[in-house]
Amino acid sequence: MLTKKEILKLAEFSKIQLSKKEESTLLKDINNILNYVKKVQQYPISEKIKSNNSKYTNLRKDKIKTSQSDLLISQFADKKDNLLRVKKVL
Amino acid sequence: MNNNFTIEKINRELNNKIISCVDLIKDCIKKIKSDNLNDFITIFENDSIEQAQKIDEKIKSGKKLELLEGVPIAIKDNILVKDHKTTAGSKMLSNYVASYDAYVIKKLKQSGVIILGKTNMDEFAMGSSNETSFFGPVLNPHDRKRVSGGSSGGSAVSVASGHCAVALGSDTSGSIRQPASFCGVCGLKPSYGRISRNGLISLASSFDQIGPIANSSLDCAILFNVIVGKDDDDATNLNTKKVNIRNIKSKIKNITIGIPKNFDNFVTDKNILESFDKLIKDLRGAKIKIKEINMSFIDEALAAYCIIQPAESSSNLAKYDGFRYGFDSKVYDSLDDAYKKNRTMGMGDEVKRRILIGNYVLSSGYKEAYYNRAMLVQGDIKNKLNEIFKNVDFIITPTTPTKAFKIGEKLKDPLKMYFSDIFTVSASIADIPAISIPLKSNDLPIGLQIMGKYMDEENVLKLAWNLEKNFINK
Repeated sequence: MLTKKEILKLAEFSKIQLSKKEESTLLKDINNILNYVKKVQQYPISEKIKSNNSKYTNLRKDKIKTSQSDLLISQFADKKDNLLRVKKVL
Repeated sequence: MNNNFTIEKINRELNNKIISCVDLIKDCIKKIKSDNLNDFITIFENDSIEQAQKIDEKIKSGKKLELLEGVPIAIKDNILVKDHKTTAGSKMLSNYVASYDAYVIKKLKQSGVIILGKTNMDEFAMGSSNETSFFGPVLNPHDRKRVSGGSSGGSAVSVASGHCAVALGSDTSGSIRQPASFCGVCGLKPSYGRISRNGLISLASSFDQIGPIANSSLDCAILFNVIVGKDDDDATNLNTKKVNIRNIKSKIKNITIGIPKNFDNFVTDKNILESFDKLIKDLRGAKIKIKEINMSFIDEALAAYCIIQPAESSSNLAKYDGFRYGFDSKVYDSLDDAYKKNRTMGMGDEVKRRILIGNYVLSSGYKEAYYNRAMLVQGDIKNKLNEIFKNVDFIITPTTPTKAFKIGEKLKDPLKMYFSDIFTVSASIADIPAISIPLKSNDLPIGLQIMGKYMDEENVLKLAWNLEKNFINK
């Protein structure tokens, strides 16, 4: 089951900050859920099932279509030319 | 409620000038505001009245309206409508204005329906009660102290209350069917791949499907035919055929209906069992073949779903950082701090819970035991259902194990909330179509779920129509 150290690591990875109260309630909730879902490990799988890959057959032709970039760029809150401006990375 | 607020009735009344389109739309908007059920996040008041005026001009000029022209529709707020807010029920997107129309919206606009507005929903479609919405819960019109169901709660309530004739919702493990059941209306989840997901804000990409909510299975079929179609921008858009309405409205014969053994172990409401048992008795009386089937996997179907869906959602929601669009807290001093502040302040508890679970079940050391295992379970269940459908044409169950529960009753216990989907999740796991239609009830609404073969929406709708006409509403 999830430990407190693991939930903090997960939160860091997910880019979410947790309050002290959230750390303990989420830990309890998630462990309850994991305790329930682990029944998939006991479910007998028939030998024929190797994987569950879906097949996508609706692939469009490799042709350039009109782009929506201008529309999407126009929604940037902070931009310079066509570039999105963010806080310094380092 | 408004069971006669149907597409054909509206079309007849508009063409015969019994009501003007402007009056119809204004009445709907007035009712939305006065009923105060919080089913709408945005109302397109000016746009819809302007469209209604054009419809009235067409009628005045002596032309006949096509079937859907002037029909008021509500759209779940995770489906993009260009130049209008699309919030997904979240603070993260509370001011996001869609820059394009979803494929289904383009199709709806061509049909002449009037979009009244965007409906309230569980945040990012994560929920079964419409209580996780940033915009507050949607109230059930049958009892305001009870939930509407979710995540398409606003859409189901808008139809049930007569705020519109039809609505679009989306269904990942029951999010159309369950609120339809709680509110006493019809809701169809198409087979996976039937309706383009282009312009639908994704929750779990291998389960999500847009579907119709209406007062009858016939209206679900009519709306289905509007939104179905070939879309090259969705690689998972696999079957684009319309359903045959004439066939749906004909008598269904020589069918076998499967009922899962021991399904009643999951039902806690006596009335649901009584109503369901009465229907079975009536079906047997009409010499319809009923067969007991083994669906002992439904618990594992829910468990597998509770692994796969958060896994996919944790990836789908990684895009929300507040930079290109969405909530920007502006209280950070580095990029990393920006990601954390924007996401933490922009998203609610259930969303955070599922992102954390999703990342956990995909992480090194756990992926084999959880995600990979869940995918194999899914494959096995799909095979088992294929085998079942060699001997039956349909499977029926109650849509939900309970009637609409009280607001706040299950919010503190996520696992209890997930169990609302115990009957609906199998259809999602197996990609098959399923509809919920109302059964007779003494008090709160009860839903009957009909599941059918993959891509066989036409027969699912046909059985639903036959049951409504000859058994339920008789």
